[in-house]
Amino acid sequence: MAVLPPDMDAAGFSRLIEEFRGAIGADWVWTGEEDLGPYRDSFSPVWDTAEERRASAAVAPADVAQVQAIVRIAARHKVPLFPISTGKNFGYGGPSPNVTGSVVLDLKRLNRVLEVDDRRHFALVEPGVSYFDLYRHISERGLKVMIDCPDPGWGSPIGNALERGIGYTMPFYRDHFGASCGMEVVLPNGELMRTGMGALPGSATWQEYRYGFGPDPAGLFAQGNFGIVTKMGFRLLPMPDHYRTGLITVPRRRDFVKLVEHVNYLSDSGLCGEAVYGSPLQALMARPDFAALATRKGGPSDAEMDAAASAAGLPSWQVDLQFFGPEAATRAHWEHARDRILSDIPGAQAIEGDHFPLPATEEQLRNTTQPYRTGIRRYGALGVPSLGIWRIVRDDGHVGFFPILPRSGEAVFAMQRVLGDALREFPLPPYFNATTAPLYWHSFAFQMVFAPSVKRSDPEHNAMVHRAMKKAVAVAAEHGWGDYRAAPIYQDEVAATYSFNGHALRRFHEQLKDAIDPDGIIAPGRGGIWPRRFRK
Amino acid sequence: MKRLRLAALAGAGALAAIAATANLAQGPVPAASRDAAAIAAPEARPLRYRADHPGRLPFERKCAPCHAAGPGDDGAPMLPGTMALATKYGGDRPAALELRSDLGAEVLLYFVRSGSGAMPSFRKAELSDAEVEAIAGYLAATAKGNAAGQ
Repeated sequence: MAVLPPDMDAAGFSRLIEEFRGAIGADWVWTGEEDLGPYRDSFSPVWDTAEERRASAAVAPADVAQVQAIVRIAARHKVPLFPISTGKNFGYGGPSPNVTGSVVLDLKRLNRVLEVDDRRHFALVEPGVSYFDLYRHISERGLKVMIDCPDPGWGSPIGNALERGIGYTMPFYRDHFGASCGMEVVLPNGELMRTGMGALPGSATWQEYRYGFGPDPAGLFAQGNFGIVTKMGFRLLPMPDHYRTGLITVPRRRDFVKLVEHVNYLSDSGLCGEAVYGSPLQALMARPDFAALATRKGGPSDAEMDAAASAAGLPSWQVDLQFFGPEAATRAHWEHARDRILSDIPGAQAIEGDHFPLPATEEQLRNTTQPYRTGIRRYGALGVPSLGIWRIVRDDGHVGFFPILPRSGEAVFAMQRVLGDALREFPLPPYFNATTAPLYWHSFAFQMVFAPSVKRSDPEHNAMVHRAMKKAVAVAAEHGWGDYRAAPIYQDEVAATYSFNGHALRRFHEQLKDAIDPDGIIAPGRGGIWPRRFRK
Repeated sequence: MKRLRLAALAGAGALAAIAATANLAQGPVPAASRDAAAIAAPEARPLRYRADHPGRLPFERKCAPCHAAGPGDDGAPMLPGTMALATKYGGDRPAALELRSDLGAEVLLYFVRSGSGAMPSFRKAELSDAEVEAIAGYLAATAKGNAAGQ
């Protein structure tokens, strides 16, 4: 037994564990170091340091009634629980809790796909269901809906949505929390609540009308600690007839401003799926002279970047566009996008990609049919779960900082410069440089990526990464850019940057937390929200 | 000609863009070299036989998405776990787990519960000891069948 829950001695812990065993069976309660190893954050930059957050035990209930029983036991003993779904939140803490000594409430055994409706286009699932599971359920039954999944398919639709994760299809579905509709929640006192139409007995619209009547508290359960979500509905894209891609390049650095405005129009009009931006000039980063220019303090001038692009015969920017729908509509949308952009940006060029009916063949899924090398990852683009993306994981994993920025070329240039300069002191790859493109994952905002790797055998490297993460969060906030998601070890720092009017938002959350969970039974500290008991 | 040239240029940026836009992304500089390295180690022995064994289903659901034989996503020659083992063993042992005859339950349990490098560990709630033992049986039977077929 490595650690104990807060304010609890060994005898009390033994009594707690006995009660858990009585409630759900001894086979599903773990306290040994070996069994708890997989509940550590294997991507942690603070592995084996005092900052690492470790569980005292883990419990895996089989159903909602057992979840309620565990919550009531934990409440009696004043022991914090940390709920996880499939436990794959890598880069953001994995399955590890905010508070050392918490009991991880592992919901993997709640693994039923309760309903998929391909006429009204929704699913209702439990938290232990993975994207692989949901995809298999749909495929085996030949249902005509497409899911939207994040890169690694072993994650949970519920867990990912509650972390405000994203996918890669049409804008409405990429925001996984935004595309949710209706949830069932075990509250800190063990009571069961349903949101929206789920609160109306006999309603058949729980997954169709999100709000019901009165305030909708669903948002409190995303990146929050007000309850344990045991069921959740998701809207699904009707399986489109056809998929089409095309690539557009623009010659000059400043052309990016107009390019972004056009793509914003296309996306917000529902005409295209995820737009994947890139800079062909990244190919020049292996050249020391160009790398020095692209990472120069204060940033290069447009003229210098344009001269480098011209000398190399490369366009400055590109965007991979994707279209879903009837074949004729995908063609019309591509032609509209092409004509709209090429008529407004001198020197812009367009290349038609491939197109095919859905669902895709295996060859099409493997992305070998494009006439050009593309930035699109085809599995994700078509909502097919995969673990192929794990090929980019290096060393012992990584941490992630993904600041939100406006969808404008000027904002992209500013973030390249500001965060590039701020992180120069750290011996890391230049994540922010004059060729860094924004990510268009969330439906209505850009992000950029800072995701340095961690090395378990190199604590000095990890400490440097840890410092760099904290500095990135702080400097970004000074410029109005905030992180969207963070590991427990960074959640206080990130939450502190959302400080309008003397941290009014945090104080409101604390008031709510004090009202329904003053002892911190559900994930104290998650989202930077601490109940009275834990506030210093 | 012009079209082909433009296509090639677009591809030059795409390699880096793949890594830079990934949900778990790394920085842009090492991305291109990583992809180049990834293409250097093809699997020598194809997988021709899969055993009809109770361990096949848990293998296919829990291990195969990263460790199966065959190509990976978006032009990658192998799946990530298979590639990692190809790099680790340099051809001394098969990279695909289904061709390995030396993975007993004890060895599998060690890696499943401890993880290794980029591979995280797996919890009993998602993969039981009994399932891992069944997977070991499936791998042994599959490796044997493939060896016999050669």
